[in-house]
Order: sequence, then structure tokens, then C-alpha cells
Amino acid sequence: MLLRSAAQRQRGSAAGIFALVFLLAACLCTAVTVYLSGTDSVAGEMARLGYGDYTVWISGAPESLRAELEQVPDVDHATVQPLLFAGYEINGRYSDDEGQLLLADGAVPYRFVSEQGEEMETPEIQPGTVYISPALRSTFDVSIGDTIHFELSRSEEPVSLTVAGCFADAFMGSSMIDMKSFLISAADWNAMRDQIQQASRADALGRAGAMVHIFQRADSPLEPLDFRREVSESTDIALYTAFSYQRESILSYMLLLQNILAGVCFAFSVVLLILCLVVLGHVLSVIVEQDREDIASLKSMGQSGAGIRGVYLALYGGIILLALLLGLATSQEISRLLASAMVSSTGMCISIRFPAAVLIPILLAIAALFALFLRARTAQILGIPPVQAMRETAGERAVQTPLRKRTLGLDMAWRELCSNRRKYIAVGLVAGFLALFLSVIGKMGTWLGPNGEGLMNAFSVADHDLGVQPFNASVPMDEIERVIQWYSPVRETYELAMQSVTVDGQEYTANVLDDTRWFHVLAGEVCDGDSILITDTVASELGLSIGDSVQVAANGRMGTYRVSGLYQCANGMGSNIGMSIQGYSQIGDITGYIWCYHYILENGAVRDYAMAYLQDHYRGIDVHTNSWSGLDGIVFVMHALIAVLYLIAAVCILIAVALAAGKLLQSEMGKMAVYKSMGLFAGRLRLSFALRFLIVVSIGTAAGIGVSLLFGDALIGYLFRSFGIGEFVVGFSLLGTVLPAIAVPLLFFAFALAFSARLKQVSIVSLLSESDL
Amino acid sequence: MMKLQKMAAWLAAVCLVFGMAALAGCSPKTVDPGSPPEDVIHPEGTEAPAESSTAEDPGAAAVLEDAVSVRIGQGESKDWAVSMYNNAAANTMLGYLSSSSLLFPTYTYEEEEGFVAQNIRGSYTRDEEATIQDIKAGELYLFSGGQLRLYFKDIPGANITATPVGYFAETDGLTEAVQTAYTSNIGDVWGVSVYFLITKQID
Repeated sequence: MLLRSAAQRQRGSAAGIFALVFLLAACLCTAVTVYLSGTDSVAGEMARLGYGDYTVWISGAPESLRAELEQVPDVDHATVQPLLFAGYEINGRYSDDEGQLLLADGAVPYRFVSEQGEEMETPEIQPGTVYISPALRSTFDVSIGDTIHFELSRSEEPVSLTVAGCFADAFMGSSMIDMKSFLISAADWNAMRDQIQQASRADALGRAGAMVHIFQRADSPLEPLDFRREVSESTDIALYTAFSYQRESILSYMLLLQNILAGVCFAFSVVLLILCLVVLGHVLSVIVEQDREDIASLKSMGQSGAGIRGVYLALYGGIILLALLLGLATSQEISRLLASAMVSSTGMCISIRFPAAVLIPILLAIAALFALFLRARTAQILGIPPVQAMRETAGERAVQTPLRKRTLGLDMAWRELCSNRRKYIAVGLVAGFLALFLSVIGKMGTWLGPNGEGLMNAFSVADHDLGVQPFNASVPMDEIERVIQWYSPVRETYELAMQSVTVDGQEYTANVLDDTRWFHVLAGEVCDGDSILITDTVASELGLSIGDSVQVAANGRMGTYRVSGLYQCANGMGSNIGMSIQGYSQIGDITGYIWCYHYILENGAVRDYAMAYLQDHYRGIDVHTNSWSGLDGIVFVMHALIAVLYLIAAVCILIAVALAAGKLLQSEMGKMAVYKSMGLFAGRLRLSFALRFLIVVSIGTAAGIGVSLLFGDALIGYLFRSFGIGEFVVGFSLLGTVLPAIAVPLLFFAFALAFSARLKQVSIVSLLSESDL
Repeated sequence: MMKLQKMAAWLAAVCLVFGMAALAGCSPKTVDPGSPPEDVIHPEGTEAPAESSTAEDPGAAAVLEDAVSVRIGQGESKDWAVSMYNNAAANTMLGYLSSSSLLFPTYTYEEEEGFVAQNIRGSYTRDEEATIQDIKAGELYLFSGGQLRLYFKDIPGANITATPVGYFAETDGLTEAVQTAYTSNIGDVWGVSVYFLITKQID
């Protein structure tokens, strides 16, 4: 009976707590489910399709290579998956990168994806048709029935294949990876291979190659990097390598978008958990304070303190458990919706499985935390004395502050705050944590930029708007430069070559610049002819620091270089080094068509138009901007996520204000009625009431943003290092500083103003009537 | 009272709209400038080189004395001083060099015609192209296809059309140095004829 009575009286508080805990459970369980299901799905599919411990993309290798690999002591076995590399054109757009044509002979059991993003039965691939990655559909706006033209030879017409559907490409399907796979029939594949082989060296545009999946022996003691080094040094594979990736690297690329999403949701869940505890603590202390008289009466009637406390524990414990369970159930549906919506980004169907082994312990831990918290916060019930003694101790400490006519609303608010500081601490804490989180998220949004400039600059070797790489002497670079100049004056230009090298036996990409000023140097000095720059990733992989000496080798030549500094380039998850043209000339041939001309335009906004024109009108060049196919998706998801988090934050503020304002108003009814009877308008009382929130929240928000300014960059920078992004600096910004500083206090103020509407009904008469009853 | 309720709703709406607008972060869509006109792509006078003029005296242009030092062949220690003409083509080339040594491979060696050559990167103006009758050992010329030649022999009556870019300050022993470097480099894994180690000596 006591429980029913408590539930009826406290239904507003209970509903608020329920909503907050539900949001927490839904957000946390969604983050965990998406993360674990994504990892399991992609890793499982990679293993099922036969991705090696590391896989090397090669071209022109002899058939003996596989046998050579299997003679390496730590190699368990190696498999070779043949493929063809070829440039392609879809709907008038040429790809920046070559595509890889896969042979559909049943040896690799690919899965297929329907137009609705669901898994479908394996179809028979007809000659003349091609299956593509779902990510390509969003990049090129290609649909079933469209034609893709593959360029194999200058002397032959491009081979045109019709898109018949999508397949799940677990190795390169993600929109984060520029190279895309095409699954074609054995008849087409063989015909295309023959066309490449028959073309003269000068005419050939495509090339035959393979993915070599290399598996390490289970009992091998070598670390992954040492294993790669052993394979590289024991065989000729380095001579034929186009690029290579460890399983973990491809997994990181494939899961990048999901992991960003899951990571932000997880971080927000932590903030929500803190908010829940703060709000719950506040609500309980206010309720116990309000019910103090009733509790004392019940005790005087013989009810034990533990029994009364049990009522509160049962009510709020039950509500929290119910919210956790409902949040868990809802999260599974949200996860399915998210997985379905992300097919065009992940390139494959993520199979959502309920990760009971992880979620149930997490939820039990949260429930236990809430239980302990509830016990702690309701302990004061045990100390409430019986009626008579209580009356002696009751009463609030009023603080007298001056009241002025012109600033009466503000003065009244200040007086209330000074008198009842403890009641507003929770509101200040909630505002502080929300402001801190929104500020950190805002910093990430600012860094990302409206078009993903942050990621572009972090992943590219050096800033640029447009890059043009000629592949032969017939490319009219002077004409191309006139075209670029027509679109926009060129502010700066430099040249970049990306070449495969080994550093102390470990394979990396060397980013070679003719003008080393363009490297993003984080520490130390820019490199010269005798030194190199390394990323944080390379530094930690090889245990190097500035001043160390390393052996860099390429094309059978080796040189000793000093590490002059650390630089920023997240390309290949940071597995790259920076060299000057002088330094690279000691070990590599600088005279070939390895150089990409980079242009920084006065008006960078026209770069896409210039790129489209050059792609349409010139052959033998690769044109690209500082962007890549998956960037738009990341930018969209990140911006959408920030917007959704602001909405959730607004809902949290609404609930927090509803709970706090409801209790405060209830406890101040008498005082308000007296104020009204003295001639104060309800409007002024409401404004004064909302101003209390504004003052407290402004202090909390300032503290939250201060913490963010002090530690936000370091925190995000630490997280970003796992993606190969070595530096994160944003500082003061609109999205990370100004917006939360304005939005959080204003939302609190607006909601407090709205909830204070019940002051309109307060009158001294109604108060008297209530007490008479 | 309605006024305050409206005010609260308005404030909340402003916060959300302000937030969404800031978060949307959409940059304004740029108007498509279209395609460049024909005179940009093929301007008059760029199809053929400007009318060649007989070299009067390349030295009349200012010369960057000892702008570059060159070692001929790998493992050699003798530095040859090279002066560069202060023209656009030479300055573009100097832009690729620094005080760090650049190992520059050349793949073409012509004993009869007396030069080693290699195509080089970059866009070069042909405004200073000239017709040269007699060539002296140690002279450097840039040809229209982007080929840089070092003549290591005197070639009277060569009658070439190219841009003079520089010359070796000292030519005694130059012919022998190039020939020795070529001979010792036969069988190079990259197929290089002669290596040059080039270091810029001026800022």
C-alpha cells in the first residue's frame, strides 16, 4: 500500500528517471551491439573468404611465388586469388583508382546483397554482367542495369559489363577504401585476361595480378611485423608487391564508420550514466526532504526506517530495472535499423546478434551501481527522527540578500539560490557534464569541417585541392595546367610520389615531396637528403625516436637515414614515412612517371568541376582531389550524429528541468502564493524562477567548457592516435565552445520558464483551501 | 502569461534551430563554371615553339655563378662547379634542387653526338629557346620535349634548337670523367648510363 501510494505521488519523478535510464540503456546497448556485431560479421566474413594473416596485392608475379612463400619457416600456407586491375568508367565518371576484377568461379564463396540491403541467395553470374559492392552504388550513383566500362588496352574498345546486383566484399567493400572490387563471370574474366596479355606493353592499360593470402603458423613465435619482415626478406614478393595489409588493418578500414558511431554513442552513454546518477541523487534527496514529515509520522506509528526505505528502493529500483530491460530490447531494433542503413558504407550486411555475454554483465553492473547508489542516497531515511523531534530540527536557513525594484526578478533568483544552494547543485552538475560532452563532440565536428577537411588533411600527405599524375610523355601537362588555371588561379604547386620502401626491413609507403615544407611536421625538423620523417604509428611499431638511424631500402638499394622528426599522415593507418626528393633519389629512381602534381587553388570550391573536366577530356592521367569516396559518408554520419546528440541532450535537459522544477515549485508553492498576494505578477515570478536555472547552469556550463578547453584536445588526440591521426588541435570554436555555451543555458532557461507555468494557478486562497482540507 | 510560454517555446526553438544550422555545416554549393573555352585549351602560338632565334650570346643574360656543384659518377669525390643562366627554365630546375644532394640518373648516352641526357619533370617555358650552331663541352641545354642534355664534347655545327640553361665552369677532364662514369656503370640494375650527384650551392 505504501508502495502504491509512493508510486502515485512520485509518478512524475519516476517517469523522468525511467526516461533517462531508458535512454542510457538504449544508447549503451546500441553502441555495444553495433560494435561487436560489426566486428564479428566482418572478421567472420574475412576469415570465411580466406583473408590471410596478411595479404599482399601483387602484379606480374611468377607462379613459383606461392611455393617460395610456403618454404618460409613461419608460413603455414599461402593461397593465391587471381584478379585483374583495370580503370573503369561509370555513368560518365572515371574512377580515381583502378578496380579489381574478381573471378567468380565458386572458389571464394561470396555472399550477395539485395537492393534492400539484405542478404540474398547466390545467383548464377551471367557473362556480360558484373556484381558490385553496395558502397560503389552510393559513390557513383550506379544502379542495376547500368553499364561499367573497363579499360584494358589502348588498342581495344573498353569492355562493357552490365550491373546485375551487389555482392558483399569483406576485403574492400567499405566506402573508406577507394579501390573497389567487381565480381564477374569466368568467361568474361578469362577473355579480359587474354586481352591484357595480348596487348603490347605500350598499349596495356590493365594488368593481371593476385591477392596472396599468407597465413602464419599457429606455433610461430614471431610478432606480426617480424613475420612480415621474415616473409619479405626470405622471398621475392617485395618485387611484385603493389600494396599489402594485415588483417587488423583491413578490419579497421572496414569498421571505421561503425566504430566512430559506436565510440561516440559509448562516450555519450558514460555521460548519460553520470547524468542519471546526478539526477537520481537530486530527486531522491528532494523527495525525502519533502516526505520528511510523512516518514516521521510513519515512524511514530511504528513503521521501521528500513521498511520505509524499502518502499523507495523497490519503486526506483523497479523503474530502473524496467528501463534497462526496455532500453536493451529497443537497442536491438535500433541496431538492426542502423546496420541496414549502413550497408552502403560498410559494403556488406552486418548481421546483428544479441551479444548477451557482454551486455548482460554490463547491465547487471549498471543495475548494481544504481542499487548501491539508491541505498546510499536513501540512507538518510533511517536517520529521520520521530515527529516531535523532527519539528524541532526542521526549517531552512534563509539568506538575506538585497532586493531592488529594477532587478527584482534577478535579486529574488539570487536570494533563492543563496538560501537553497544544495537543491541546485544537481542542475549545475548536469549542465556541466552536458556542456563538456557537447563541447568535445563540437570540437570533433569543427575539426572535421563542413566537407571533411579535417580528415582530408589528416589522411593526406600534404594539403592540396587537386592532384594530377601523368602516366606517360604524351600527357599535355602544360595544357592541363592552363585548364586548371582557368577554373581557378593556382596559389601553390608541388609534387608528390608515393613509393613502396622498407624501413629496417618493414614495408611502408614513402611519401616523397619535392618541397618538404608541405609535410605536416608534429615534432622535430623537416627531412632533408639525409633524413626522413616518420609517423607516430611507425615510431611505435619500430620503436624509433627522433635522432635514430634507420636503413631505408627500395628497388634493391639501401641508404642510412636519420629520423629528423614526426609528421602527420594517417594514410594506411599511419604506416608511412616522409622523404625529400633528394633523400629518395639515393635509393629510388626519381625520373619515372611517379610524380603527382599537387595544386592548391585560390578557389578550392571549383576543384570537383576541374577534376570532372580533366577526367572526361584527358587519358593517361590520374586526377584526384583531397577527398576520397568514403569521406562524404563519414561527414554525413558525423554531422547527423552531432545533431542527434544535441537532440538527446535537449531531451535530457527537458527531463532534468522537469524533475528539478517540479520538486522546487511544489516546495515553494506557499512562498509563491505569498509573493503573488503581495502584488507580484506571475510573469515576474516565473522569470525569477527560470533565472535561478540560468545562473546555476551558466556556472556549470562554464566549468564544463573550461574542462573541455583544457583537456578536450588531448583526450580526442589520444583516441585519434589509434586511427593514425597524430595531432588534434581545435581550441576555441563556434561548434565546440560557443554553441554549447549558449545552447545549454538557454535550453535550461526555456524549459524552466515553460515548467513554471503552474505558478499562474497559485493563489493565497487556493493555498488556504488546500491546508484547510 | 501566454507571452512567457511563447517566449520559452521560442527560446527552445531558437536553441535547436541555431544548433542544427551550425551542425548542418553545409558549405554553399558552388556554381558550375562550365568548361574552359577553346582558346584556353589551345591558345594561339602554343602549338609550335616560338620562332627560334639564333643565339646571340646566352651569357648576355645574367649568370648565376657556381649555382650548382656536380659529381660525375657514383663514388666520385670531385665537385664540378656549374653556372646557371638566370632564365625561367634554369630557375625552374633550380627549384627542384636544394642543399641536399640529389642523385640524378641519366639513361641516354650518345658517344658520337657527345651528350648524356634525361627527360626531366616540370613545365618549362620555351620563350628563351634558341638555335645554337656550335656547342662546347660542358654546356647544358633543355630541349622542347623536356630532355636535359649535358654535352661532354665540343660539337661544331650541331645546329640544335633548345634553351641554354647552364655550363660547367671548368671543362678540363670533363669528357674523360663522363666517359669513365659511363664505362664503370655498365650493367647498372636500373639501366642507368651515368649518375650525377647534384647539389645546389645558392639560396
